[in-house]
Amino acid sequence: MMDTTEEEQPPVFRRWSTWYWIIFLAMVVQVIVYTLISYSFL
Amino acid sequence: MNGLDWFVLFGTLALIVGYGVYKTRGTTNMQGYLLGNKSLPWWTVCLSIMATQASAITFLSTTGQAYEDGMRFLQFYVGLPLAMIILSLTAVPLYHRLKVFTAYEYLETRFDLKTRTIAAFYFLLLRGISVGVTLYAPALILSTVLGWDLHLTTLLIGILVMVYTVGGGTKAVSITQKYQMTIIMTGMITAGLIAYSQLPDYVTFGNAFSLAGEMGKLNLVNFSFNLSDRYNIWSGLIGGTFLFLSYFGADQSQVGRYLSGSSITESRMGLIFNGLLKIPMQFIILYIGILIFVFYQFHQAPLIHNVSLKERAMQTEAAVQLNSLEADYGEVFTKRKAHAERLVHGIQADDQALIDVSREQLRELGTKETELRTSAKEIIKANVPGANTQDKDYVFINFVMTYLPHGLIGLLLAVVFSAAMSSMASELNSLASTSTVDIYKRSLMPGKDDNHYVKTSRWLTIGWAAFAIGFASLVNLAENLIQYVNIVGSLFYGTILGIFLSAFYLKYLKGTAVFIAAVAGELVILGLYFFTDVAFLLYNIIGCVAVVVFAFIMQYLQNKRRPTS
Repeated sequence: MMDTTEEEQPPVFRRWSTWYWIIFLAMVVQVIVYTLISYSFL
Repeated sequence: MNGLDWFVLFGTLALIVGYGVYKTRGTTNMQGYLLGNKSLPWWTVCLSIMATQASAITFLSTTGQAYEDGMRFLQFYVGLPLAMIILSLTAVPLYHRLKVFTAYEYLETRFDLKTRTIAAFYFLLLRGISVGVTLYAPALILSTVLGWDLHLTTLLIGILVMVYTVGGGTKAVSITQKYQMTIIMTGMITAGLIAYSQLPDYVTFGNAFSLAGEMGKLNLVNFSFNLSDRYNIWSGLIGGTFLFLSYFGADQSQVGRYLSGSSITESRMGLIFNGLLKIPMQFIILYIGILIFVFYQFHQAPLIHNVSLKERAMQTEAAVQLNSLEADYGEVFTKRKAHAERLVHGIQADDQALIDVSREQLRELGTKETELRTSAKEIIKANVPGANTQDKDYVFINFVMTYLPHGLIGLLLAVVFSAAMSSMASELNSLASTSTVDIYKRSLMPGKDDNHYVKTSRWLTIGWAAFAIGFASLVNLAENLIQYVNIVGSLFYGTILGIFLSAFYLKYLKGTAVFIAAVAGELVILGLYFFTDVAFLLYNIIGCVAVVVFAFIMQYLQNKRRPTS
């Protein structure tokens, strides 16, 4: 993984971990929703 | 097609092309032409990334795929959000900080000129051939449906793309993609709504969903681990992440999109939102295919969705046999419709026994229908020389041409043209920038002014477009073409990814070792291709691993011979 120093991080991505978690949670939620859809009709 | 359709189709295309040319006129420097002055906001970057990935075949094929096989294809994209996170953390800040024009330029900073050149060369080979197919595949379908000459169709799409890509470069590609994507999604959702609105009145949206579910079409997620099954959650997570890392991290047609973002943040946001929106977008497209499937439970589907092929077959001796099959097919449909109605009533009344009986009947009739379709395809194949009877890609477009009102037919054709143009534009743009920056400017003609290189880029864009049009006009591989291109892609993708993986994460490795490994890795892949039966999808992983392993061995040997201080 590349090193990135603090001053190179633009403002929004000071909160980078927030975005990371949003997209990760969105993926998890999507998989859960799609799983529910799949299994409700089997 | 009537006058209104033609007006909507050509009006939409002319507006998009005209807007692209107008907004980007007078670009004369490299930064402006190849990176859009690094001025684009994240939503343009995001739509541009999505439009590049989604070619016309995506929209035509995916709906057909859902119609035949259900929605399990969605799992292919599960790895995408993870790949977007990894690239946002690694590739994006790196490319931005180094102010590179292409991904391969970075390889010279990290390794050396020869490694940069070989990666650029592999990319030009694989992308050069695939741009021909990006043009050929939709042109073949559109020419069949519209009854146009194939050469004329390829020429029309090719020239339309060339007009704004040559004129405005990267910025023109991105801003036109924003509108193309809007048209595409509006058109697709409209088509889905029309399919739904033409269902019998008593079938609610929920009933349509349940009906598809009962018939096994909503198989979105499959947790069983099976290497031979192409679509399950594990192959999507592992294989998909791997594939998307290489596609978005090392393929200039995508790297060029997010390099045009005005800052690291804008580029990252573009990628992140692509990760957030891509799966829902695919869900919508697949679900439109499902709605068409439900629609055809109540309206008779054609025996062969490629109607013009069937018409050709009807001119031959096959007509009698096809007519008889058609009659049987009609009978099966009448029974099917009655059972579909019963199934809906069962769902509405929550009558499990009725649901089970009708579902079983529908399954049996479905098998009969498939048998009749297979027989029809065999008859056509025997009577029409060189016929491609695979009609999955025609399901959606045939539905559009038959059941949509005038005006919307034009809009949906504009969707297919736009999707073809948006992917092709990115590919041409990336081919031109890589051949200009990594080959021409770096090795053939260094030290000229910006104006000279912008002119070269324009000529190279024209050159690649001419190549794509020529390729699409001359090839006639119909059935095997897409498979052929996937093989060519797989021959080089793994090696390119191996080079980039070494560059990003393996600091131990140096230029010469990676260069030798890139050559050796490619030879391994070519060896596998010519002398073994290994499935070509595995070439991606084998190529990548081979490059990394060879590079480690070479580096170790080199260090041993010349110990570093």
